[in-house]
Amino acid sequence: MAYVIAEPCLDVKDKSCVAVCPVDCIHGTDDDKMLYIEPDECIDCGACTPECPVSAIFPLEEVPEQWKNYIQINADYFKK
Amino acid sequence: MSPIHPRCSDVPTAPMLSAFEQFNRGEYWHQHETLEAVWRAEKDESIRDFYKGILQIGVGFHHVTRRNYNGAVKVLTRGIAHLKPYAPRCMGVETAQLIKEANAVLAQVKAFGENRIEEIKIAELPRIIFEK
Repeated sequence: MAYVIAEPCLDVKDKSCVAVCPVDCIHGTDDDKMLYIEPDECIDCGACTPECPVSAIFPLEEVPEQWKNYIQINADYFKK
Repeated sequence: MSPIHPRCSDVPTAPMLSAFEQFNRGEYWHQHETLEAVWRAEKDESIRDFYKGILQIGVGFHHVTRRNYNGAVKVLTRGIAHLKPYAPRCMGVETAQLIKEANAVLAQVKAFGENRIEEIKIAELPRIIFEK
């Protein structure tokens, strides 16, 4: 289990979530269009969720149907 | 060797002691929650990585208990790096000892690899040595 960043983050990248993550598992470079959570590193604390101004972060099992593909998009980012 | 951080002579607070005890009981997820609150409340940026370093070493151990190789390697590596500036001891914690022992676990995880991480004995994971 892990938290997942979904479509609302696209082109927003507010980064408030990064500042509150105690595990430093939210990543993304200046060139990326959004931020991503490393599912292997995330400890499921949920500290990031309330910080997101566009409500883009969900627990794995609560990712809205239309953004389920972001579960794989987050995981794939770290396989590069 | 860099000078010891001035805040390292502080006495550990009750929540910190509680987190260390959780860590030593193997309650790695709970120690993370307790230390996260301490870390988030801390306004002095220069000492925040001390809390985060211990917290992340505990999270690395959590991943070891879950046989999560990738998570264990990445978070342990980061936690050790965060804690290094606070060696050899800080707020009653024998940080150099914890770094040394966490490094040994990290080396063991890497040596066993993804397929044999389950052979690591959870009961033998290092504990925090600290003064109350």
